[in-house]
Amino acid sequence: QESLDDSQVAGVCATEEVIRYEYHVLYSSSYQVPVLYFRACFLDGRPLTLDEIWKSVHACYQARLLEGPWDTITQQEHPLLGQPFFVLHPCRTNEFMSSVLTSTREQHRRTNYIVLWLSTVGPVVGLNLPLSYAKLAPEQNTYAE
Amino acid sequence: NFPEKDLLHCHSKDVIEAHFMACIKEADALKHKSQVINEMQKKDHKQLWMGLQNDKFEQFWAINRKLMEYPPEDSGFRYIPFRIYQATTERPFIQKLFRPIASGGQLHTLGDLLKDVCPSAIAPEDGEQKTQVMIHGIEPMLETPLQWLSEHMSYPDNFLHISIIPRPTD
Repeated sequence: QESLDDSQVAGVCATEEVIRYEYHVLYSSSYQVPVLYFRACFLDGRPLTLDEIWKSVHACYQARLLEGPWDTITQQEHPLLGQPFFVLHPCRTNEFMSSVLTSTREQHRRTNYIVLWLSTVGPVVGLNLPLSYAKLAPEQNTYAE
Repeated sequence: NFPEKDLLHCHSKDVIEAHFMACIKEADALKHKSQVINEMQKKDHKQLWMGLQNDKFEQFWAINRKLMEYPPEDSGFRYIPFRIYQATTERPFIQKLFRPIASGGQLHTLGDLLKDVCPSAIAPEDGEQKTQVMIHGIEPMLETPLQWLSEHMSYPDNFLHISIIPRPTD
């Protein structure tokens, strides 16, 4: 029996099988934003295909995914490990983060960029942050610009 | 039998097209803050891919030339898209932010890039150059301006893919 840590969670897909997800948060110097890399496999070790990953995206995000599946989640080589990982495309991150950050700043609320970002993108691919993470916001805003 | 955990499995041309377009977009993020690629229509993106896929030089460059331009008030791109590959390390590649123009206005060279991000590649041991710096299988002079290399010797995905290999000793 493995203990679950922050990087691994068990998720359930449509056919009621157990899938193990592994998430990595990396920083893209090209887009200057964080990027979510992940991989998933069944308990017998068989990795999920891109098709199976797309199908496992939560129902409420399916419409957006279907608009441009190839623009949203694709496979790339992990820049440090070299192995194939699925990646949530970072090209839109600045867009949605700036609108969120503008409003939180107008309300003078504390923000932790990573928690804000991860709580937005994580649920698309099965990573739901517990609310306790929201209490981790530091005194100052992070590298938002 | 395919080693799914170690290699990207390209089941179809769509997979390759998606990967190619992702590289093009990342290159433009570095060169132009994505302005040029975002101003293009979907059909332009498609033309880039089809030109490459069908080996149609003119068709490809009709679009690619826009990705190689920069505003007249600048002397080059914002950052240069490059990846350096070395067989001597575990690391898949080196990729960092690097400007083509120095703060004083001089053009950075290939040698400047290597000195900054991969100094072991050009450090002479006992006065002898143990490695070769290759792009497209040839060894450009280290004095070559990086901006020029990016405009003229990038691969179709708009990246400079640079290999550091042991120099043959014959």
